[in-house]
Amino acid sequence: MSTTHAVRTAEVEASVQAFTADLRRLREEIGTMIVGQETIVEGVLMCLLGGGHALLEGVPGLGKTMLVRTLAETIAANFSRVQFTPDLMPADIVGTNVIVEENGMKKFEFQKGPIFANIVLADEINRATPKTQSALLEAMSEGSVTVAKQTYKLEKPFFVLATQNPLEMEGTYPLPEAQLDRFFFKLIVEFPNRDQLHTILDRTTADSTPKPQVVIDKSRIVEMRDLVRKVPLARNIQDYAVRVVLATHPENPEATAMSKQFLRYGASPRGLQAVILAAKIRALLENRYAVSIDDIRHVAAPALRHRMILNFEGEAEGVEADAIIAEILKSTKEV
Amino acid sequence: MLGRARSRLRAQGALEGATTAFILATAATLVAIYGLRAEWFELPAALGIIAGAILLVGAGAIVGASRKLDDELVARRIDRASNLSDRLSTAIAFDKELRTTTDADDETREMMIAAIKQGTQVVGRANVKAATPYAVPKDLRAAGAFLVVSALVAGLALPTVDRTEHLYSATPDHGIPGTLVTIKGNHLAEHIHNNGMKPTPSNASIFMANGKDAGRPIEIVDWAATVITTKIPADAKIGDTKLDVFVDNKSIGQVSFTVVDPADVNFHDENSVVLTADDRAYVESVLAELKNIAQRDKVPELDDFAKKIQKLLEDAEQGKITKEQLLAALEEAEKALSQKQEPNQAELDKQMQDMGKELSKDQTTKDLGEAFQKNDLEKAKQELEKLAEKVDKQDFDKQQEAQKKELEQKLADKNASDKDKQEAKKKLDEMKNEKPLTDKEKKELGKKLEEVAKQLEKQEKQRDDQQKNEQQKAEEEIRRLEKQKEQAKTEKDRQDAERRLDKKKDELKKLQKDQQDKQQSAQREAVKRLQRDMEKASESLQKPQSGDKDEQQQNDQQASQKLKDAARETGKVDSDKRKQASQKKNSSQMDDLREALRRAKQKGNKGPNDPFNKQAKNSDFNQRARGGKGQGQGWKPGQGQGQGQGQGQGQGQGQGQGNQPGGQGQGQGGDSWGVGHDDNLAGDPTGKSGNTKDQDLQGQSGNEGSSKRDTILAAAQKGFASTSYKKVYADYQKIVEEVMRTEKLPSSYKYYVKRYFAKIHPSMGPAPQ
Repeated sequence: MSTTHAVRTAEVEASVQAFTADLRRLREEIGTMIVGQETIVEGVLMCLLGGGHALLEGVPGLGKTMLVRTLAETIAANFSRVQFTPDLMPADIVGTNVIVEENGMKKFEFQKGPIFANIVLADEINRATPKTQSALLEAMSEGSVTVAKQTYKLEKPFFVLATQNPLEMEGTYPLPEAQLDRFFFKLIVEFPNRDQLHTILDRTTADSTPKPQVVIDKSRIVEMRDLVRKVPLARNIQDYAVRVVLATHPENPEATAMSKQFLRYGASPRGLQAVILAAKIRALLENRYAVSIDDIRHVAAPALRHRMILNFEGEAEGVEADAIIAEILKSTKEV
Repeated sequence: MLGRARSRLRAQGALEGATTAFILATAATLVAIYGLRAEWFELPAALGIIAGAILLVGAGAIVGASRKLDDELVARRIDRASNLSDRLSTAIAFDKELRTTTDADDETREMMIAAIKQGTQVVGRANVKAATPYAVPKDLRAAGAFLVVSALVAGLALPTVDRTEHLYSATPDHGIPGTLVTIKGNHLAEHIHNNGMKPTPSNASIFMANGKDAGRPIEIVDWAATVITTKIPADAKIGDTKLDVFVDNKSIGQVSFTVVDPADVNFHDENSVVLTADDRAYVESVLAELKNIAQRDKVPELDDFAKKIQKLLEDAEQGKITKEQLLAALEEAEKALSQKQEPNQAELDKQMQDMGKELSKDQTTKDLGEAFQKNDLEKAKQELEKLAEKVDKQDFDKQQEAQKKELEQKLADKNASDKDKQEAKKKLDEMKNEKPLTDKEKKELGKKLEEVAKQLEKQEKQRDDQQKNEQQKAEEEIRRLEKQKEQAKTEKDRQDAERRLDKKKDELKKLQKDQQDKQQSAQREAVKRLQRDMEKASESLQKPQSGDKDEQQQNDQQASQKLKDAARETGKVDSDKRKQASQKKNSSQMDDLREALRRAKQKGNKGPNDPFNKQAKNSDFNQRARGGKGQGQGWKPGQGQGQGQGQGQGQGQGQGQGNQPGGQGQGQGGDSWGVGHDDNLAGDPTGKSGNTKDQDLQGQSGNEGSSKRDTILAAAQKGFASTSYKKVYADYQKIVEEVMRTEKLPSSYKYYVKRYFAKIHPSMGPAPQ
């Protein structure tokens, strides 16, 4: 190995170590505000670093908004929160042209909506009408907003974190498949356990309320995103991920028994991309330079669960997508 | 590290391969051992198979060890076992990739290098032993189980070759005496010494082991390794027995066999003809009657016919011939019996009478002529024989001498009865009057015979001419009618002509047939020969006397011989006439016989057996016919006249009157069947329409006093009750036979009537009280 190579390798090693360290610090800082929910925090960070968006599902009061706010504060990013209601209009999100008077002249000026932020919390997204929900589509996939034929770029990093309440389904508009597919992860927020509840009470009901510190700059997030994409993965591991995704398609030969029985459609290629990117982030998080099969397994459920559509039998039987994914992971051979 | 892991993996692979191969090797060894014990193979061949099996295990181990082991695969095992998160396998994969491609961007390449470096750093944590553990081979259990089972099967369960003789069964297991029996077994030829073992081994024998023929040896027809063919003696006793087979004076086993009676219907062939007991008795009675008639009328052909039918029936009952063959044979026999029949017996009788009239004119042939005139052909034959004797003086003297001697001996015999002696004396007296014919008498006889022969010839010619004339006339008439038919103006005329034409054609056919039958008639042939013999005798008798004594003697002898031939022919005419007469008389019996055999069933016929319960009815009828009390509802004499009206709901009404046996019913059916019936189901008793009178009869000794009887005068004039059953039976049968002869009844109807009389025959059971 030449000296140049050695230098470069050392640089890469250093950048990976820096990535790991920054990420760890970020998690620790968020941890000062959010009790437990490590998996959710990790998932949200993966979405952020993977350049995607997260859909959080959980009952109200579990700290979802707190998590997003904390994340925004720790990376010194703009944060906006939109409470989705049935009467919310797309313009309420993306913004609208308003008439302003300047130097005695009246002109249209674009008034930016809450979407023009680094981190957007779309609270109870399923309560808005599909029209409003779709207003998020362009922003989420293209990172830009078009109003009156004028396209406005959104500042990077742009990260949407949507929540939905699984209990009150009446008067809601379930997210269409196309929109669901645009979410990098769907994370299920679990109710805290006893110890965690104690800690929450201790922190939130005492005199001093902790305040999160800025750990890294939002520009660092963009750098970290670039590094993620440089992480290599061996062909057999990539093949494993491909086979896992194929197994979610009931008509595919790789499909498992449950897939065939309970699924109507499997995960999209976008889902596979999410799996690989998330696996790469996890590898870096564990201070590795390459993806392992365990990484794939670890991220498969949050990346694929919302991309699989159950058939009538699956819904009637109340089959969980996670159970099907677990079966697929178990039955897919590593070689 | 990888090398070590690979070695361990190869060792494990060798173990797995050897274990799998071991199963096959065990199977091969099992086959070798079994084959050796069953003597399929010789020892070297078996050892060869076992050696091959051992080599197979080695080959399995080699194959198992030599399978391809990829570095990445081995590394992945180590990664898994050592919890290295695919660092080693990824490092190897990246190493290969970096060597082969240059596509990746610099930073990614550096990342790969870093990953390889990281992989090398964790080598120390690699746990090769945990990654490549020596495990129990997957197939070990199966191999072990197979080994145990194989050992058990090869060592314990498989019998060694059993070379002792075994007998299984006899086929058939029953049969009539003389039946060929096949005894099945195995290793039967193991201890047989003689060359080729056929037909009979010298050191083997078969005996009947028990039953009435116990200890009796039976014939061995063939002896093979798995089958022995033997023949039950033709005079074997009927009953169960065992066939005991001996080889070297030692019994090798017994098989059961039942010798059955050929007459036992139960053992007859499936195709055999079965007659019910009644039918059989009836057929036998008909055959016996035929035989009686044959003896009485001296018709040996009829006797032969009866015997032949009896034999055919026996064969049919034993299944030797089918029912169809039986009926065909019966038809054939009847045909043979009735061939060459004389169509016009009266004409022939007239001819004979004319001949007799002519002969009776002369003193010498007076007796002969009278016999012919009376159509007593047997007597005529005797007279002709007498004449033949008288013509040849030497022969006559010899015969007289011999006869005289015999009669005198009889007279001298002390044991002879007085009657015999008287007869002998009478004959002796008669013989004194018997004298050979004088030359003059011979001449006259010759002349008479010539005349008679000519007369016969003339009559024959006249008859032929007459026949021809008749035929000619018929033919001419046919031609005329055909012409008339063609020229007919109206359809009616044409039809009329056609009808007459058909009639005439039938007449012609009848004439032709008659002519043909006459030509074929055995009696006419005999008459023709008789005529020729008479001519020849006449010639010899009328030859002019040359004075040569020898020549004269020769002529006499020739004439005598011809007269004897004429006597024989007369006898033939006589016997044929009798045969024909008796056949005519027996035509009714023949019909009965044919009908009875036609009704016989075949044993194997599994069709509806007596679907109308005929047998039960028959039996009931039998009982009633003999005056017994009937059973069930088979017969209801005096059954009422019923009228039924069915209604939709299946209700009905019935009304009955029982004044007369049987009746007529009228009914209008409803939608459903009626359920109503006459209260008086059996009807009123038969009305006594005849004049009756009550009689008190004197009881006979041993009977229970007087009894009251109703005598139906209309049925039996008077004294029915006091007339013996036999007589009543005979009277009635006579009347019925007469009616059946005169009325044209279908044969099957006649059969029933006859069966009725057969069943109520006095000999069939006790006479009615």
